[in-house]
Amino acid sequence: MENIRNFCIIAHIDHGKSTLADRLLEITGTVTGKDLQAQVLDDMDIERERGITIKSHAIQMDYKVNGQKYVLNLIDTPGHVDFSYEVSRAIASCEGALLVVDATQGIQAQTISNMYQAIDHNLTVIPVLNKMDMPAAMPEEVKDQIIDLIGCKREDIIEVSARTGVGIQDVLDAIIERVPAPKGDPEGPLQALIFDSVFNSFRGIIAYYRILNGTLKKGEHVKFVNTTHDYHADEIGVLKLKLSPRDTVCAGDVGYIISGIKSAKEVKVGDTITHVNNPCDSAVAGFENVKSMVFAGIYPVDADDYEELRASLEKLQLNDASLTFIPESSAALGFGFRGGFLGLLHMEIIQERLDREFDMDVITTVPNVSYKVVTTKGEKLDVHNPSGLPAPTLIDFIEEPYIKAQVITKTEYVGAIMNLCIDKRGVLQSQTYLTTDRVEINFEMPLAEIVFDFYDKLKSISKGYASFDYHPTVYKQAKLVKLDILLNGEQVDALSTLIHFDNAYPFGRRMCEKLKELIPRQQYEVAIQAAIGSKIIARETISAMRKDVTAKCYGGDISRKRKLLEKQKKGKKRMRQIGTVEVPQSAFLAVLKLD
Amino acid sequence: MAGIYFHIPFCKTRCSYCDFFSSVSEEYIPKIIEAEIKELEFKKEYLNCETIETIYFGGGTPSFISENNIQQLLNSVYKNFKVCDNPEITIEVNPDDISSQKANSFFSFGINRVSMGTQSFNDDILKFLNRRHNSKQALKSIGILKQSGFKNISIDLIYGIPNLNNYEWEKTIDTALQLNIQHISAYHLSFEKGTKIHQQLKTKEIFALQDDDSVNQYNLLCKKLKNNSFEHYEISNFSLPEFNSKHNSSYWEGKKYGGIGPSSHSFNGNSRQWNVSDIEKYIKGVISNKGYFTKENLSLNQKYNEYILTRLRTNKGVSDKEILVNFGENILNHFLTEIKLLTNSNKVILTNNNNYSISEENWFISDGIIAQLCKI
Repeated sequence: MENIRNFCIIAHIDHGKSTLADRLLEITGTVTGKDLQAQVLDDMDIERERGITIKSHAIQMDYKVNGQKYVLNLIDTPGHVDFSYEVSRAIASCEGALLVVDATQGIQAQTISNMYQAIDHNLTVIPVLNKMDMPAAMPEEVKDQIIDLIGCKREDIIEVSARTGVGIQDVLDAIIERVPAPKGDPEGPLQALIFDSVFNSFRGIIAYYRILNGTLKKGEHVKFVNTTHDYHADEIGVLKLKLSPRDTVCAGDVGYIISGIKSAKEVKVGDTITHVNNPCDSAVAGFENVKSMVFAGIYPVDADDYEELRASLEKLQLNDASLTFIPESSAALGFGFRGGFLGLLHMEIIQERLDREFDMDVITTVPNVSYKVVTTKGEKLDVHNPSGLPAPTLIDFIEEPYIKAQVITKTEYVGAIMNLCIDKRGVLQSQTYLTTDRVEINFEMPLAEIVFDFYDKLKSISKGYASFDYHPTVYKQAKLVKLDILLNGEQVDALSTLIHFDNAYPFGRRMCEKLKELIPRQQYEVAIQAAIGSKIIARETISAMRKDVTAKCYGGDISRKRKLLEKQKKGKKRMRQIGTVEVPQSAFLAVLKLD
Repeated sequence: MAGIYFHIPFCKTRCSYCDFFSSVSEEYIPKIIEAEIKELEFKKEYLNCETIETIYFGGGTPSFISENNIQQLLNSVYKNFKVCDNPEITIEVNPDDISSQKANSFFSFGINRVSMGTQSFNDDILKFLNRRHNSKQALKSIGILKQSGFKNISIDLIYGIPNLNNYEWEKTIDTALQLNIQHISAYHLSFEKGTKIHQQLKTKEIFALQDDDSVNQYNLLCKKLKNNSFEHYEISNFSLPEFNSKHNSSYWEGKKYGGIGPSSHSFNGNSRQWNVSDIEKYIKGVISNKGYFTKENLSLNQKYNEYILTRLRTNKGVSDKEILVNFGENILNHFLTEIKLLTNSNKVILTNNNNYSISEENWFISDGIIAQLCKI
């Protein structure tokens, strides 16, 4: 056990985490030339293309130094706020963390919040300054930030370039020297922390774990403490570039288990594996059931594809337990599902995977958060869909989720960012100067406000120099109203939103304006109205189409004309008929495109 | 019953709006005539030896080639097909090609309908369209045609032209109405790809008319012609009673037709085919009887779509009886479902005893209506 080192990498998106991991794998000979592709650990196409890590991964490296053989377990963690729970479980599986900071950009909000988690878990932090080969690198300034943040010595910070390979050896040596060997009792009752799972279509679910105490042997009868399911360890082993089966995995090590589990729902990140016969006294602390934060309708473009969509979502759920969905129906969109997601990125990823992996064309509706409604009769309801809201007269009050939001930016953008957050109903809680020109601002604000267009606005007003992180806190009562959209008098349920009363008027006006842009002219006039209850608060009119005609249609024109009209009909079929109005799919996301 | 269309792919100059297949290389004329006569023989089988009711010389510019060539083509129809007693025989002409001698010859061949490419009676507009003639020539040619005995004369007009104001358009319509002609085809200008005006539009040298102005010109046209006893029988076609173009109507009524010459289309009820738009390839292909056309067999849905798209452009419209008989119950149900949406809400479809048509004022937005009714 003395020769095992478990570590993770904490970094902001684009700070070079995956490239650094690639270099470590290369230098330890874990990956050889023919397997080499950029971002070895990110095996989903989406991960590679977006340059982000969605799932946690783990890989074991063998490393020999001074005649000693070491086993290094690298646990690669997701790099987005949507997945912060997974990150916390990965951190809990390690003794050390590489804090990778881009020397050209400095510390970002995401890094800081993950950093605090690492410190909470008593991890040894090795600061690494990456991208030192770049002309824009400002090592001394960024070193100041790092020293401020973790209180390390200046000489502890390792300068590297993951791109060119400079300094990688120093990183390896630091992992061996500074990260403590894992502690734990190999003879004690089994206690293993699950930090992630993946789905394999041939083998079912493969769960990744870190053994804290005890020893797991192939074929043993084990149970998962929180789900209470029990299984036989059909195959266990360690994670090399590919799965590498073993007969035993001991305390301190990181490994995998295959036990015929079919669905990811049965394997919860943060759960504890123990023996059925000699169970551990307590589960590993910190387990949480993953909760959906953002909800949106998912509807098939072609109504006939409803069953296929269900099958696709079920398959996605096999390897993504954080996705939830229940059937719902909409007058405008027909039959579909209410999806629950960890956040907006997660929602985007699901949508993209439906398209790529299942060739499913879907309409996703405006996302919303989960509200708690207390009725006049005192009932408490969880509402995940504005159209599921009881009638206003039956509502006593509504509560909405709040978050603690953290923004790190340059001093020159503080004013604009404060304005944005206040516009979004944020309340300033603290403001800390990290260095002379970097500020950390903390806000409490409603989650609903960041679901729409918050990131984009933050990015544009800070010219990209603001990083953002958030954590859900509590539910608070709010003056919310349901804003409906009507097309030629017909209410469009899929366009209803719950919104704070103070914002309802300007929001309604902007919705009408945007819809006017998105809905094509029809053969007759179309009235777009925004309403609260029966009160119309905004209106736009799309005037009727005046000219849509082909001048000539003789013997030689008929074929071409027919094909054109058939194509147009196909386009119409993709639109949704709301009463008499044809509405393109893009209109259902109008709210996300408001200026 | 069937029609024959001869495409004469030659023009002296190219008009700035025209995307029809045509060439200015006169040296090919004899070979094309020879090939077209040969192709006509092949079409006998395609048209199942049906009796010919209408013959149409279009282009290009049929009046640009010699009268003899026209006569040769006409004779070959009589040689290969049974022709009915009073066939409608039309020739498209350019005003500047018309002389008494030419008009007399055409009349003596049995040609009984002339369609003249007048386009406008405003010389500035004619120049913009790159027409060879001026308005004076057009008026003169109409006189010559009448003198030669023609009693069924049609002229083409174009509106919706950049810089054509309502006043000038009205003057053109008034001039046309004073000519005592029997038929007017009036087209809204289209900016077809590959034409000069399309290029000019792209480079913002010219600007398309606002839709409202286009509609005003269309409404003016409809009103004036109606007041002068013209029947508006197709979106772009008006005639005095009994002077509908039989040949063109056959396209909209789903009748068979054989199109002869490069780029010509043919239809026999079950398939459409179109000849290659290349003079040399056409000549070579016809000589070897292969590879000069592309054929498309029509599915039931496609036949229905063509029925809807052609017939709703006419004042005859469509009937559910015809749909049931020709396309079956399944398609009729589709039609009735879609038509309900259109009649319920926006009244763009006129209903009369299970007969459906698009009203004159809604013809100007008919593409979307027809697309709605298509079945895919």
